[in-house]
Amino acid sequence: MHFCYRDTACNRAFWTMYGCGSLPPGTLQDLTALIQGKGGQRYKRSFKPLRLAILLAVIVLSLLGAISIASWADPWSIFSRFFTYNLRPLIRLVHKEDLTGLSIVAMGLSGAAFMAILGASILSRRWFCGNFCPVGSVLGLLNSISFVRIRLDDRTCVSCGACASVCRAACIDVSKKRLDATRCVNCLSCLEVCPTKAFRYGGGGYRKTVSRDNTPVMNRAQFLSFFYRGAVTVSLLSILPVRAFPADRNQPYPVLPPGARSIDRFTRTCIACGLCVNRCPSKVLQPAPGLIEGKGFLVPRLDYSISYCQYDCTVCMEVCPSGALEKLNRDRKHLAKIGDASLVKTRCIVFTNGTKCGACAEHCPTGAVRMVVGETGLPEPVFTSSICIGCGACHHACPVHPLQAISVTGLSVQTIAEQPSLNLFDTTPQGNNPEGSEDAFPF
Amino acid sequence: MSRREFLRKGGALGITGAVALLSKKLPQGQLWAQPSSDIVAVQGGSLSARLDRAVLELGGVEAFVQKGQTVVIKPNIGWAQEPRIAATTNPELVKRLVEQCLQAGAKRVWVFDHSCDNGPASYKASRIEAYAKEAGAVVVSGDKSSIYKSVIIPGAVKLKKTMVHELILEADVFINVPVLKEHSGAGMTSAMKNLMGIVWDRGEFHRLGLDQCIADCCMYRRPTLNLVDADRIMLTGGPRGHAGSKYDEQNMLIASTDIVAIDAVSARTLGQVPENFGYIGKGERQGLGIADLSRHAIRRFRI
Repeated sequence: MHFCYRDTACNRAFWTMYGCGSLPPGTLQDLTALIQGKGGQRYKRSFKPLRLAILLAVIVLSLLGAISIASWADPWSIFSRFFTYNLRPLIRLVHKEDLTGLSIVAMGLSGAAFMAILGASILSRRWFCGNFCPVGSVLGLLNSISFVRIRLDDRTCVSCGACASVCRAACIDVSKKRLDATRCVNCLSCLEVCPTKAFRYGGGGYRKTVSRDNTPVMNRAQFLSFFYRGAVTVSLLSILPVRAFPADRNQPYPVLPPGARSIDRFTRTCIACGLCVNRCPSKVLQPAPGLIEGKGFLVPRLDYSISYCQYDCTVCMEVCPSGALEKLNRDRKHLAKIGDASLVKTRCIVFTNGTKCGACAEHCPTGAVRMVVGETGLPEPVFTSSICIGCGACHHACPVHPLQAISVTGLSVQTIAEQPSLNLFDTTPQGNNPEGSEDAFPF
Repeated sequence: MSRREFLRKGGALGITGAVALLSKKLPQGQLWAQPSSDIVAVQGGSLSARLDRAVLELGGVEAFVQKGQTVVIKPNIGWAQEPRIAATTNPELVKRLVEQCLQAGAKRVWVFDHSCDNGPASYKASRIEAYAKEAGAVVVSGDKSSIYKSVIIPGAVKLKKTMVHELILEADVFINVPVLKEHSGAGMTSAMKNLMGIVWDRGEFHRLGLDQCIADCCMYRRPTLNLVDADRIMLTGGPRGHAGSKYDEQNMLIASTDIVAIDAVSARTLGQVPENFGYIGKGERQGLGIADLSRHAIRRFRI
């Protein structure tokens, strides 16, 4: 949501839902107007209690740190999730790619949410924007007290209804000659079609928000009541250490993407928009199926049964829009410890079967697990936790199923691993045949 | 070309042609006539010059690729590492090989590998995709399971059935271009181990017995030609390569049609003996080639 606010920061003097008009959820809703045909929408009243309730719920959830749950009222996040969890799998299907890592929960919820928004807009244009969306509520409130906005002069208006049929937000009451500024998206279509030029886009005092028959948009008592209620709630919540839901301590910690820094910080800042899941080249980032720490819903975590984190890749941090993933460059990411491996030799093929393996060491980018010839006479895995970054390459490569001989679990607080020493692999280096001379071939 | 050489080659070609015509229905890899099981090693010069010389010494590219045939080149594109790390085959070598095949009249030249790291990342970082495309090859992905077909490997001891990339079934000519390096699991990776990249489920090799499965995999289809990139040999920290890895700049290219022999030579290049690597002995016992280097004509050249 703060993304939407930031986007409209340049429109500060205008205080409108202007940005909402150019973003995909807005324009797609406008397209549904084509299904209705012309002369459709008349005025629909907004449902104020719902707007207030959702806004308060979002504020409360955000203060509790459950921002990934609050972001289900955020149109930008909803659209992003729809693209990642519903549209992208279709694209992959068309390209005949393997469809690993499909989260049914994410697909179902994001598809339902997006379709609900589009469906509602068929019944009442931009129903979501004017009745549900917290961004709409706040910006709409500000628009109604803004200096520069669309104004309808009830003296010039002849109630012909031309404006209502093109109004994208169904916010013009033709019989009462009133425009609900709390839902106006400033598309200016009404200005264009009005035959008597009753619309004006410009300045004027506060007092002009009152129409001819003295019914105000929101009277002073209502406004102050809302303001005081909000202020009291906010103050109370900020001094009480409240958890949204109790965390389950028996589960191992999930592995979070690099840059998350800690589970607590990540669940407070991740809006679960799905962008990183979408862009991850190895598809190891997947939405977590349950609640993390009681507040992270569908936030991304690494699923090592699908793949592992590529050593040189920093894409997730590059695309994160909310700052939930700190932008680490490649060198810092090489030392970012997101998890820790643990080696169970009793499950390892070298010890159980007496044959060579080494799949773990092959893939390990830091050398935290490496093969050293041991008592079996074969190369055996040896593990050093201090240089392990928890990328999951060993976990993914280990061919022992269902319980791997080496597996990676997450950390409550991500740390920095030690730099691997350059002497890690020093054995007597195999080289030219000692019998051969400088000039000769080695065989 | 001397008269003796001409008669020898003409005779070999004639017999090859007759046998090929008669054996159209038999599984591939069994009746391709081996032009010679010589081993050729070329040291020095540029990678392209080395390749040109090595192939020439084995009879020229026409001995391996006939006009109108399709060729699949299987380099090592296992890791998302730059060429200087030498965890993957040198892209210049792959490029020159593609050019040679096309010059010989190949209808199509494909390049692929089933990478250990993320496929597209490996294809890009190793530069093999870019270089191969420049030369006119068709670069095919190895990371979609739909491209692999289930096959039975006759004569296999452990790996009796597996899924192999469809290009290995389809192409007329199969050229194996590994990069020689130390390997933490198998000890060494060269020609035989490189074939692990033609299957979908590599984990199965580790589960059923790595050495045995490497040998079994080579039995599915004998490569027409093996070219071992021994330009910059990773001696420690293989197969992926690490900051502290040590290298041996041999500037060498080894070529042979005998996959077991070329691995025996590779072992010696690392300063080891072939007996240290279980899959070489198993391969020899299963009829894949001859590891005893005294039974081969080894020709060494410096350019």
